Amino acid sequence: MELLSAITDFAAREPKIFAVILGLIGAAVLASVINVAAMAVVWLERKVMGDLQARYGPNRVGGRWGILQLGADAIKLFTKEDIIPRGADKSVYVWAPIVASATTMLVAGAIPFGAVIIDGREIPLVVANMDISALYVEAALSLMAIGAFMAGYSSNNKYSMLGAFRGVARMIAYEVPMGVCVISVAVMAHSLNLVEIVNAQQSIWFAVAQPLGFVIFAICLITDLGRMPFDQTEAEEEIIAGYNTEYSGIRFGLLYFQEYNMMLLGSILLVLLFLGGWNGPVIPVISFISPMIWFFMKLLIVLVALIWIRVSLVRFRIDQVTDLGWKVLLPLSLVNFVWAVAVGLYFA
Amino acid sequence: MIDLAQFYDIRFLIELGAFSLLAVLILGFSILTVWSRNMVHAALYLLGAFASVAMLYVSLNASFVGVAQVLVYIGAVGVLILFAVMLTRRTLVEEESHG
Repeated sequence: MELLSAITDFAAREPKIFAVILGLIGAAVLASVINVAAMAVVWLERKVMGDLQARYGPNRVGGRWGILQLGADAIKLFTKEDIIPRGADKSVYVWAPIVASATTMLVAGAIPFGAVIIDGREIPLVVANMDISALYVEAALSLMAIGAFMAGYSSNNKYSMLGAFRGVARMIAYEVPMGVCVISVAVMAHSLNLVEIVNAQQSIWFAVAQPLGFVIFAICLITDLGRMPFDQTEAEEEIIAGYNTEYSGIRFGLLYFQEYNMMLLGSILLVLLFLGGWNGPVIPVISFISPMIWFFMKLLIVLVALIWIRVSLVRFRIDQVTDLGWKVLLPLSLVNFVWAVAVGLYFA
Repeated sequence: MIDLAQFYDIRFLIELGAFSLLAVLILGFSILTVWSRNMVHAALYLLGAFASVAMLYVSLNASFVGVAQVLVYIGAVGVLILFAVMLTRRTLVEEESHG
């Protein structure tokens, strides 16, 4: 109690320094939680993929559900030998996984992870609640290609280089329609703040208000995440493993986890922007966490849908992918933007 | 004229420290961009300088300008420079670092 009153005293006297300390603690908690959550996503993917392909998936370590499998994998990655290939551009090679995982942390800082209701007030769980968080997340997502480019360039391997080429070309093509979709949502919600965008969807989800934008954003998201129909950066049959061919040990682990972190954060972004976030009827007895329950139900559906798409579709060629981005999705996203402005003006 | 009394104020010290760190980062990255013999390294250093400038904007409470800096200069211009460097002749890049 004394400690608590001392802390509130300090917060009242020095609000700015208190905010800095709180932010640092939040960042540390976030960095650990997001990586553990990514491990859960990897487990979910292996299990659901196993079900969809009529096999078991992990079922040895940690009971019949194989829950501890990912812990075992992480320990394996930590203890494996770290090989830096001769002729690699060493400093860039070392920095690439760090830049890649820093990018995910940048995105995670501004994304609300649901909300709780305290004293009848909704409190969103977000580290940095900025006025322009949607634009910030979009900007941070555009950094993803740089980590992959550094990894691909520095490995001194033609397959890695091809993966980096493809990654950058694809990112340039798909960043534009994705940004236009985010702006369309912001026009309809009259705000760039992700929490405000979620609050604006209390009556109608934006997936219903602008279905075209929802579809385009989902396609761009799958492309940005580099998942199955669009995973040309690491197409196994063509270029071994793309930009992370030469990586091993924990450096590979960082690049690998970064992909699944991004999958989790991208799904959360889709839920927030188009599927109404944590909005939903209040569940009576546990009203305290009822927004969290709605949020996680939607998140789980989106994650399973992503895995389902991965196992059911085949890979496109890289020229087909860039064609789709520039010639189809960009004009359609502009149509969606005009639609959003028109509807927004009509109902304003 | 610097008021020495304000050096005892911790908020002022934090601001000064943040600004000095960012100034060193911006200057360092810019000089490295010019001096680097490897084109890809120069492009990456340039991205570092852009990122430091974005952080400077954020520290000046101009977060929109900071985000626009990241979106335009790192996301678009920087990636475009990397793309252009990849399309140039490899011999220029190779002789310095690889090997």
